[in-house]
Amino acid sequence: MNRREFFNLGLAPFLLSTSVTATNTISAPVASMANQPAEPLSRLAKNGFLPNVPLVTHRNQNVRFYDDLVREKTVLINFFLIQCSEGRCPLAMANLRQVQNMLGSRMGKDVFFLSITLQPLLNTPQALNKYAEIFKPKPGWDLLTGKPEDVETLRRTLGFADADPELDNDLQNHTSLARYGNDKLERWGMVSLRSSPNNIASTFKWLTV
Amino acid sequence: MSSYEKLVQNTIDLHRQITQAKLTRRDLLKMGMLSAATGMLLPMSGLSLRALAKDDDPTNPAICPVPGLAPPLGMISPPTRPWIEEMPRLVEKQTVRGNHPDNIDTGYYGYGGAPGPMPVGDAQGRGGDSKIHCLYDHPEMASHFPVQNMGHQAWSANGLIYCPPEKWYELREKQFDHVWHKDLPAGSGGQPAWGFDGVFPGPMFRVRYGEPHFVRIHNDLPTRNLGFGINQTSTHLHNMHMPAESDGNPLLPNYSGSYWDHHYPNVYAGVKQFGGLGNPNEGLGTLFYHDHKLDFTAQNVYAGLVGMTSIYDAPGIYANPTMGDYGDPEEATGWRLPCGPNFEFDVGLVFHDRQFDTLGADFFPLACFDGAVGDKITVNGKIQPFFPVKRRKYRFRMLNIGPSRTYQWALSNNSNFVVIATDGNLLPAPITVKTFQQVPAERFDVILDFSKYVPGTQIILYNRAEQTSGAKPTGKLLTPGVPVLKFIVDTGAVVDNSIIPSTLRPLPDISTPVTNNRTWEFKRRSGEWVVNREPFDRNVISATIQEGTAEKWTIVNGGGGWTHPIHVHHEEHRVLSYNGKPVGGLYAGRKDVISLEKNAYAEIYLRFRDFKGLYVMHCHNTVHEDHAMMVLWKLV
Ligand SMILES: [Cu+2]
Repeated sequence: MNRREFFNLGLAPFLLSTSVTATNTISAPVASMANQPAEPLSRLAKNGFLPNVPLVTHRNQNVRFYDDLVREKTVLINFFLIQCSEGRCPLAMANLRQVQNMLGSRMGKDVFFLSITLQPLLNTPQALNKYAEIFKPKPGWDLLTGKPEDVETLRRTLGFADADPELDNDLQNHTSLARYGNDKLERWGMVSLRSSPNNIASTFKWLTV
Repeated sequence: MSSYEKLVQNTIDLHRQITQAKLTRRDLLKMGMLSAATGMLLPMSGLSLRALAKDDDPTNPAICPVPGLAPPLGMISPPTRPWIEEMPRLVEKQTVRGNHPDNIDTGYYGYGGAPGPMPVGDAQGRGGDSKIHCLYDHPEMASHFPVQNMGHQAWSANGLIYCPPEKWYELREKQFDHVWHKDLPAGSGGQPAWGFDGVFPGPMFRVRYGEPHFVRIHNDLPTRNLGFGINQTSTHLHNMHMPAESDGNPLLPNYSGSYWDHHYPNVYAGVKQFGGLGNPNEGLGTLFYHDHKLDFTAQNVYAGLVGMTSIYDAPGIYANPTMGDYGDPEEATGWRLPCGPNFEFDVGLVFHDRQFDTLGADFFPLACFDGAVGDKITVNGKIQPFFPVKRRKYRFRMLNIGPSRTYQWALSNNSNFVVIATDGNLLPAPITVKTFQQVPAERFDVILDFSKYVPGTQIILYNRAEQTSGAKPTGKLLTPGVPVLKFIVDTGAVVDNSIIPSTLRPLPDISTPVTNNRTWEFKRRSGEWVVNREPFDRNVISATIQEGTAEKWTIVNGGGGWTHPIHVHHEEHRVLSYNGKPVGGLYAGRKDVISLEKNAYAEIYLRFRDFKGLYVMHCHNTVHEDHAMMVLWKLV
């Protein structure tokens, strides 16, 4: 049974009130959830560009990638490695820390950062939580892990894999590019997290007008 | 070659063998190679990459679909019959009614201004005439673009160069339905696209040196995009010698509901040095305009925001009356190049490859930052069209708008192309070739002579370069190649006063001494496209250049097996050497795109003249450009 069938059976209110899918990002009252369309809103999500895989945040919350983290939001998505030998990931995460401050009250309201680990087996939610202490993510910035196959689906589908498998197998070859986008308006671009925090923050100004 | 590339190559080879053996779908079904249910090749080793992919779930999309292969590593557009539709000519752009600035629309908000030299109004959008909201919405940009610097440099009577507009135009960026081919499931109703004036390609401007022109570009694009693209635009006129405020800088988007005023002074480069209209030996010819929005150029151009401009010489600019490209319908003056009444024999050809999904819907590979290639090649917006030609000479202005495909052109009867211009610039003398390569953004003006053929003769334009990914062509030359366009020779005689002159525009002298050397390395670095090791940053100006000086730039492909077509705004260049050797033939003229093959380096000579402001240099594989392979430079 898929999600849509669940909604058709009218089970959604019961499901959503359980702890299985409850998250801090769903703020609408439970009663109104049944009226929401079960289908993804954007064509990109329908076409599989934004897979709805289950993930766990560094705050130990179970979430669905599309439904809970991306749907109708403005997001920045990056993949990171805690043991990044060239120091690109620490730089990227430090830049994001500054960007979240620049975004002020928009952070966690209409702009969200999704930082996904490249080593889901190694990085438990607890490990991510410990790593997060360095970057002090505000509400709206989640570090994410999940089942390796789900993280891999996400990595490939969102275009973070190198077309050459030899390069792709080299973990240290991962990109510092982040995908930023607005699901509602279906606008998606990429920005380098090695560029300045101001440069990264500016992309959000141009996404919602 | 990596294992992935080998895999792709083997499969492509097998597909080619199937094609050569003329196996039908029925044969393939009988042989158990095709799925009746999906119409796709079955996941057998060597037949489909699906069999060898890590994950054989067919719903798992490819990172960068290989055109013409089955999912998950490939994508196949629905079949379309060749030579069904006639190739449309580009719409000839007309001035506003009466060519009068009073007839320029003041815009959606109703408080717009009449065109004038000071385009930016106050923060409430009052006064001025361009509604460039971004300057107010993003105050941090004031350091690059102080509002007073947005005044038109060549429109002020106290300026050194004073060329107020004489021709007045408007363009409207809007959504419309386009038919790429009527065999596609979208049928004759077509599917949504974005275009200048609601056509793809946008209209052809025919402008002239000494007749400065003004274009107000209205952004009427909808908020809801095509599944890709953004309704914020900045229109760049590729290779125009123009002030920075009219360049179409990627950082200056024009919002939907607003407009932007461009002023093109239409002077030859070297006004300050030569006086008058500048040096006619710097004359440009075939230009194109396209959207250049930061991070969204490839998507918005793919949506359809592109068109062409031809610029002709000022009458009598050369003392010698047999020189000059005047766009003369009688073909009686100057070099007498093919033109004809209403430019009938001076034809723009816009080449653009697209991918459609199996349901025939337009597809843009958002998740692929190597580049974007499609399995359908369009000419002026149609897949494999035919074009009836009269028995005489034609000038074709060939433009490759990419995003990422390189062509190798050849004609079915092995006849010649007479190349008269590279990147729009007339060569010192025509060069006759049987085949030539065209990378994204390059233009080639060629003369084809159909007078020697009997009526009914059919000649096919082939692309011989195989390319299966956005990164680069495979290097294999196909025989005969992919048929792209069919010329059909008409019956009847026709006047042809045009000639193929033995000499054309002389190359300008490049003796201005070089006062600065710079090196720019374009490279893939740890999964990112970078210039001199850094990704694009809107706060970083990578070079500050003194107006009136000459520089030598060494452009380096930092390796990794990619090719990069590099383009510098505002000033074109001359290639001094390529991989340490002098260049000849089609590469010795004035160029504005330099194609860096893998591991190549080139030394180019540039002069920075006449206007000031902020410009860019970038890779014109626009997917690379959008993934940060760009730098800002400033002319002061
Ligand atoms: Cu490139």
